[in-house]
Amino acid sequence: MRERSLIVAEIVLISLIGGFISIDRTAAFQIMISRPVVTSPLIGMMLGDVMTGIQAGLIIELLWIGALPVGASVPPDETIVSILVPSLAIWQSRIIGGESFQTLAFALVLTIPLAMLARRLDSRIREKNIASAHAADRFVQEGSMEGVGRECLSGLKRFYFAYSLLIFISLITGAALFPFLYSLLPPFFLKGLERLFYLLPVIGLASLMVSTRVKNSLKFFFLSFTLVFSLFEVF
Amino acid sequence: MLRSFLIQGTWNFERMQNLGFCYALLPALTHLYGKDEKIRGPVKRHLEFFNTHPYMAAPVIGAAVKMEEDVARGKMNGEDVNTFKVGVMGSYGAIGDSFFWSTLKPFASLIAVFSSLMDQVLSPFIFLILYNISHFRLRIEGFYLGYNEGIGVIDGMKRFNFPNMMKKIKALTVISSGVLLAVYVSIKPETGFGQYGLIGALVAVVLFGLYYRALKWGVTPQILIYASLAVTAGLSAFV
Repeated sequence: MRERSLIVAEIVLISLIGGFISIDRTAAFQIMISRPVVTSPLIGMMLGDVMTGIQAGLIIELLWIGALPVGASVPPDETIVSILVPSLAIWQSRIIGGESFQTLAFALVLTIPLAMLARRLDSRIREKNIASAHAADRFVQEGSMEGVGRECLSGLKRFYFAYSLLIFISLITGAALFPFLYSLLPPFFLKGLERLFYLLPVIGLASLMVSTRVKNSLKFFFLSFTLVFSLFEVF
Repeated sequence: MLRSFLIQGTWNFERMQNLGFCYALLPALTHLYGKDEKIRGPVKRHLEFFNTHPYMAAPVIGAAVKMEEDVARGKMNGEDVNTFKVGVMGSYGAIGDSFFWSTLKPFASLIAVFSSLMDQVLSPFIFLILYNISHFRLRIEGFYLGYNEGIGVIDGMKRFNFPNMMKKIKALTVISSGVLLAVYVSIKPETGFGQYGLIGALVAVVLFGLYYRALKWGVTPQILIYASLAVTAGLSAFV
């Protein structure tokens, strides 16, 4: 019972802070604390398990390394995944235990659809922001510059509350369902999850090579790969 | 200048960064016109459509402040400010996207992953520092450059030398990606590719090739993850 109320408190805390982290992703600052390599260790730190947070961060970072926002196109939301995955894995190991690569991989395959959902949410907010642009026009007509300033910031509030709420709902649902779903998994599936975990960096690097448009990139990639790999084999 | 950090705060599909830009200029405009009726025109002007890369907005904001001062003194026409903004936003957007999003961000990620091989706790800090040096330099130096030069900022921005740096960083990214994969299949824990030696490395290379092809055909990484899980789980039922 005490453990359960601790998790609820942690969910509230992560949702409040997660809203700020999500704002960094597109709305303001963009100093990149919303990248997995920073977000996940931060969540890990809050939950008392930095190492799992770092592991999750590195894997998700590599997975998203080739996903680039170009112009108005926004890739699936890596920030919400970076918040959910370490949280679910850490709670799981705290209460029941479980191999960390397996829990991390399972949390990841469960939360990827959320990344797409969060991207939809992002464009919904940007549609809603149109109303603020119109309201600002009206305030200019009325000569109220304070009103204009307020409208300029209204989107930030919208982003913050929408993301905090989404994170809160997904954490509650995840915390309730994850241990149950995980306990249903047969041993061969757990082994499969662990093997998937090792493949993730390869997927990420492949997508990076696809998205960096460099002449002869594959040639140089394999050249440096072969060189370094042979060095490792010799020594 | 600090307000430039909020440029995308109320990004909208109709006029994009217009509110963010106007918000950044409001203090300057109030300073120039006070509570006077005359402020309405300039504020309205900066609520027009605007969109560029969020960091590149800093020099544009700086230059716009300078130009608005000239407008207030009657040395410049208000419409010229908007002509300038519309003139630079497209190319600045393209430069910013390709330098920060497509070049510096993946490179900083790679270096962070490398650093985690030595010290895991350091990797987030290395990422943030490496990335934000250029970011903050552009925000701060760019803003003052814009404010000092006004419309001359277009020439002044060449000092950042983005195209040249981009080439170098991209080449480094490709090479270090190869190195990273090699290190990844060579480290020897009980699990992962490392335990299989040369065969593990060959499997990794073949998989890399398959993923590369699939992504080129437009398969999304999400689908690749689920497809891989189906294969690894299926395989694990037997081996």
